Amino acid sequence: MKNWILPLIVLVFSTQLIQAQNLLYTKTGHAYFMSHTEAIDIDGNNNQVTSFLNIETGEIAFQMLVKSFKFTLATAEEHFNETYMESDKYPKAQFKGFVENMQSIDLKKDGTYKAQVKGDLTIHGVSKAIKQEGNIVVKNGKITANSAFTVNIDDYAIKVPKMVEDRVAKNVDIKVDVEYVPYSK
Amino acid sequence: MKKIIISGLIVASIGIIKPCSAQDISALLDEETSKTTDYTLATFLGNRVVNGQSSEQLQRNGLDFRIAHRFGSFKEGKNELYGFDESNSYFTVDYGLSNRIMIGLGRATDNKLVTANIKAKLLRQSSGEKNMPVTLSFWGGISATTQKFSNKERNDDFNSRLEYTGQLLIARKFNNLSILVSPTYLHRNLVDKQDDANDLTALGLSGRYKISSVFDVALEYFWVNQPKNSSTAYYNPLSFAMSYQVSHHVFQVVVSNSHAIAENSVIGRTVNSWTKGDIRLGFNISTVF
Repeated sequence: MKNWILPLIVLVFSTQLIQAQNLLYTKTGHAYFMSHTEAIDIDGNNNQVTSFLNIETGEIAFQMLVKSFKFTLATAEEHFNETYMESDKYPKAQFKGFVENMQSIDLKKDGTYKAQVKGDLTIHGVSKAIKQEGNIVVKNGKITANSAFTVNIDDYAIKVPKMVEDRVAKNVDIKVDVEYVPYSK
Repeated sequence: MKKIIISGLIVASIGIIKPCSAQDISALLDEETSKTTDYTLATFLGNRVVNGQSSEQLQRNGLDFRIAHRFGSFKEGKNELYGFDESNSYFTVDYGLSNRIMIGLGRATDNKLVTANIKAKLLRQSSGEKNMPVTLSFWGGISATTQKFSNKERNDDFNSRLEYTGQLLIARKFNNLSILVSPTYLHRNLVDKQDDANDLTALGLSGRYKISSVFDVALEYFWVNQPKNSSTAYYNPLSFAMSYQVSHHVFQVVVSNSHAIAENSVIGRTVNSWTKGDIRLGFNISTVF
């Protein structure tokens, strides 16, 4: 009777271990945006981006608090949160999707891999299906991911008062980079 | 028996293991995001509610140049164009030394005051990992009148020209509504009359309602503990403002019974009454660089 208990315990724990290893995550990812106009450049950094990547299924997700953005311009924070992003109403920005070519990315081998990412981007309470290319970089066992893309603020129903229209770009450049570690509870 | 329990536990623990499905990642995202702290922003539109201080302050290196202006009382009638012929102003410049400490200087027409002040943010309202129900700041102001000394019976000491104000600013933002309670202590080295108090306590109660992203209304009231036997009739200042924000400018239209604009004068020296219709129009313009 005793003979099968120990192997079973080992099996149970090893399953848990494998499950955890499937999942990479970070909560200190970085997001950057730049609104460039002739009148003024407004940019912000968010260093509290949470992200998960399931290396088995290619499932990938990002989430951040809009309010965690820090700005170069002292007055930008209030306007960004109060006027444009309405961050009390819509506190989070999010992306959920899949790395479609996950099977062709070998995370055990150093290199820069193009990742075809497809999913839903949610900003200001509006979700849009997007398809974007990013990079997954493996270097000395460290796995990082980055992407640069452009968001049209009209697509996400972000309204700009008429009087400051020339100070906020219609197309905002966004950069995201994250460094993953294995997820364990 | 023991073995049955152990094997039962093992079977149960297998059941607990969940596959890493899509739903799990969503739940994990929310769980991890909830571990970050969400600090409340823009509890009030500017550093002041109407006349008094708000719980807001400038960010590091921010500069707020503010012009406040009050006309005369509506009661002054047609000949004074209902107060529009009179003018009383207060210029202030505030600067953010850090995100938590702000200093400022000002000059008021009323009593020819020169003012200096400091505001320090002690606690910030937040939710998430760090939970804090209110924002708490300390504000301290000192003012000197540069008026010609009128009391011939006393020496013109510089000390006699000084007044000190200390205030705690306790604020909470509930969605579009923000509430501020401000216990205040005011000390005046020399008062106008013998039966005026050198030390005054006051309790400020202010509110702000955000109508849209650029438009709000605000109310500010100070209950002032003036001596009952004072020969001057003092009133509690009550002020309303409608504010409009464009880019880095805030415009406020003000209705108030207070003639003065500087905090210590508003709290300690308001002699006009709403019930007697002794109120006036004014405006504040603030530009933050």
